[in-house]
Amino acid sequence: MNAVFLQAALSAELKQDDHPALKSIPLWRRMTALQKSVMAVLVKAVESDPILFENLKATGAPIYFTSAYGEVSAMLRVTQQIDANSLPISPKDFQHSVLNAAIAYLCIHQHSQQPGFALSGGYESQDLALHLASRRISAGLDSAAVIIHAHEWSDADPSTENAMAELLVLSALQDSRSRYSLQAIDQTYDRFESGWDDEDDGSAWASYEEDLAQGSIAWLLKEGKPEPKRSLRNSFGLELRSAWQELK
Amino acid sequence: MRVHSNIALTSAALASSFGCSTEELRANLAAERRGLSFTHRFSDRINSPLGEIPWNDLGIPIRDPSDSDSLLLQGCQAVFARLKEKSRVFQRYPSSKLGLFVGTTTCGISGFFDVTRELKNSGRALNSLLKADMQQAWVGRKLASEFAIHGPVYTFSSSCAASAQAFVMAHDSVRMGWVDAAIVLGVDVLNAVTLHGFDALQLLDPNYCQPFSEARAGINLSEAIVAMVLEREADPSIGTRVRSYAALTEGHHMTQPAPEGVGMKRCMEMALVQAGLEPHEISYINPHGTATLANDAGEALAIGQIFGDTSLVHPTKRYTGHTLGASGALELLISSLMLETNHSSAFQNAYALKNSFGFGGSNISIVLQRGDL
Repeated sequence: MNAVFLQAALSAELKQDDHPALKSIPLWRRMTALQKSVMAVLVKAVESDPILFENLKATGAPIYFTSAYGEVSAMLRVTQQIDANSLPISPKDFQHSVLNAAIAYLCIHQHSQQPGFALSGGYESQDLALHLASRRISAGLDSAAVIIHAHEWSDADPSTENAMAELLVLSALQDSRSRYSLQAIDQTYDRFESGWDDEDDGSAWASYEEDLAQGSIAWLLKEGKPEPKRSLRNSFGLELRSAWQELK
Repeated sequence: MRVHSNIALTSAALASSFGCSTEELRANLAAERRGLSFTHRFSDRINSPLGEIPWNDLGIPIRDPSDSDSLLLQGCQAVFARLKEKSRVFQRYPSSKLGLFVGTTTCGISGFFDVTRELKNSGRALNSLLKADMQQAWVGRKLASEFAIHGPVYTFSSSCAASAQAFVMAHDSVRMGWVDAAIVLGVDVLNAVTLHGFDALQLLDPNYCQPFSEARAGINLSEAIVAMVLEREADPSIGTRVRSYAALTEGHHMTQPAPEGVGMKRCMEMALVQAGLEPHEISYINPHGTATLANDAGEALAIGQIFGDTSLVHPTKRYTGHTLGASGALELLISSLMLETNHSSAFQNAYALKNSFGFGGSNISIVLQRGDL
């Protein structure tokens, strides 16, 4: 089994991001908040390590794009138009309502042909993507993968664009970029029996529980870092765990 | 991805306008029957033939045509109950070693209509109205809970490539030992969003669709629920195997294929290289073949450049309509049946190629082979 290393980890919140490169992106004004947040984190990531992203492009590393609710604003504009019998609906809103629209824009912008997989996993979307990508790398099916997790929301002013995205690059290769190694990953509907609680290294579990009333998002990164020990449980009782070790 | 394994498609259950069993699919393929009709539950909205699941035959009365998610869930429950009767998969493996890989694009739409009305009536902020049943993943989560599937549960929603992506990921999950068996579910149900969406894009043919024909004028939308089991099977006489697959994103345009089908061509060529096969060894091609002007032009050109001509192409959306996210699963099942039966003397029935080319340039090509090869 291959080891899995974290080569890049970044977040970008659209609301606060006034990066000048963003507004020059072709089709920027057409994009939804969710798509803009994906482009924002991508631009940031590529600027920080262009060679890494050229390599990912050249090797066809898969991109796993996840979102709990997907293109909320675009889909709501479509349902509102239908509800109001305002037909035909906007073709642009319909095109933007599909979950893989952000991957399409990303690949158009990057001139990339990396395969893109749009995953909807509810509260545990981001952890499911981490599990899938890392298991495939461990098994030697992929040598690297990009995970992008994004969420958009609205506040009192529905015209305000609010969205956030995070991006992780996983690789089987350990090099000078490798900041963390994935120590373990597992999932269960029952209590974990062994291999987790026994390894007491003194660090506490970061635990997340799905709260349907809150609709909160458990981001993978905290201040640009993965949590050493993370446990996330959804409303159906599925628990996903992951553990990272910082490399000296 | 080159695959050498004994992982086989061993069982399937389905509900579609083209048949609700593999026997019906075979018979309808042989008879070239069309599962499309001008008379449907959305006649007041859309003037185009649609393919409807025979809901009444499944014991599911349509109380509210606009509540697509209720139909989707009940239909999936009915198909899973049939699969449970047909396949040993639920008894043979521990629940933690059984996975579910869903491909869908329409799951959760009813929840968005509910929120649309609540937003209008309550004036509350959207955040407080977001609900689990607006997520495309909700049907997979619900089925996993109901049918005790405690391995990985994933929902792919890469438009029309969704269930083909679910299929290869399910396959790889068995291959790497993450699960002992995986159920692939392709599901999409007709609803106002997709009907009005494709209508707004002016992609609907008001008459029966004619994929890969010069007279083609657009798609006929349809619905389907297809569940398939992938598991290790030592007996070569049972099931179809995956030989290889390739996936890419075209990176060209949101709705148009790259000029001259170059992205489609590259995807098929990659799958053939991974399969270690020459083009002449493929004896059956199930194209994406939606009957839109641009998609079919690009795909026909790409197939012609690789295979010499399009004589091996069997564009089955002519019969089934376009079942969107479910189309990959339905057409993989059809391709598998074509490999298993000597359907036409023109086919040597050894290797089949299935293409799924979705919105946003999400391309996937899969090579299937007969188990006894």
